[in-house]
Amino acid sequence: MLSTDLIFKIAGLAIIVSVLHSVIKQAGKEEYAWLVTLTGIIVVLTLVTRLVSDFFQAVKATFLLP
Amino acid sequence: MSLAWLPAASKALGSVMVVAAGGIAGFSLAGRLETELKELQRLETALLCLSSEISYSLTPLPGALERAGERAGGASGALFERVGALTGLSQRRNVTQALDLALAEGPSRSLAPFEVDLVRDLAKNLGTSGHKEQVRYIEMSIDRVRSRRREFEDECRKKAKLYRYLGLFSGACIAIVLL
Repeated sequence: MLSTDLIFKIAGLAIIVSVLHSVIKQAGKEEYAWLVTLTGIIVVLTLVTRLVSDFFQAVKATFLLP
Repeated sequence: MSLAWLPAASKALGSVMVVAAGGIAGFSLAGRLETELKELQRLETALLCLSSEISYSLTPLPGALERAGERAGGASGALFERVGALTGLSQRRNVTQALDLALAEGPSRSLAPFEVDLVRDLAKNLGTSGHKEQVRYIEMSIDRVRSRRREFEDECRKKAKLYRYLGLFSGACIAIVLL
């Protein structure tokens, strides 16, 4: 069962990263803004890595794949 | 007495502390920028006072430096006072030597590299020409400080806001990831 905590964490991170992106872009450092967004994406991906791995295991088990 | 609320309360307290730590870091960086701007303003004041002491009061250089330093205050004022105390016929040092000694003693720690370079350049020309030429060199230094202050004011406004937001939101990000 997917934890709702994770959904709220990802939502919170997304809001913070988007605000930071706007603030840094306004300060004239566009490349750092994109770096912050990329870092946010990487952090979210690490949070969901285990779930993605479980998902693939479930698909393999369901379809009896090797 | 049930302690079921304790884990949630400690999580909340921990999150608040992490966000506060990020906020403090951001605000202190912004504060440092504002201190640097104030120091530039004090340096400008010190140079203006020095110019009026030399051109209107015709005060000898050591006394002019000390009075300018007293009126300006801050690290720049302290440096001017110290250079004034270390220079002159009684001390047998010229302004450049007095400045090197004063910088080695320590007030320069809170001065930016631009300010130290400006004062060094000015020191090379003080005490080596008539009062009109010295006033001209001081006015050139004042122009440099003014243009640097104007650039820095804009930079400071944008960067201070950025550092405050970065500090708070980075703390919030870390708190969310750790929760």
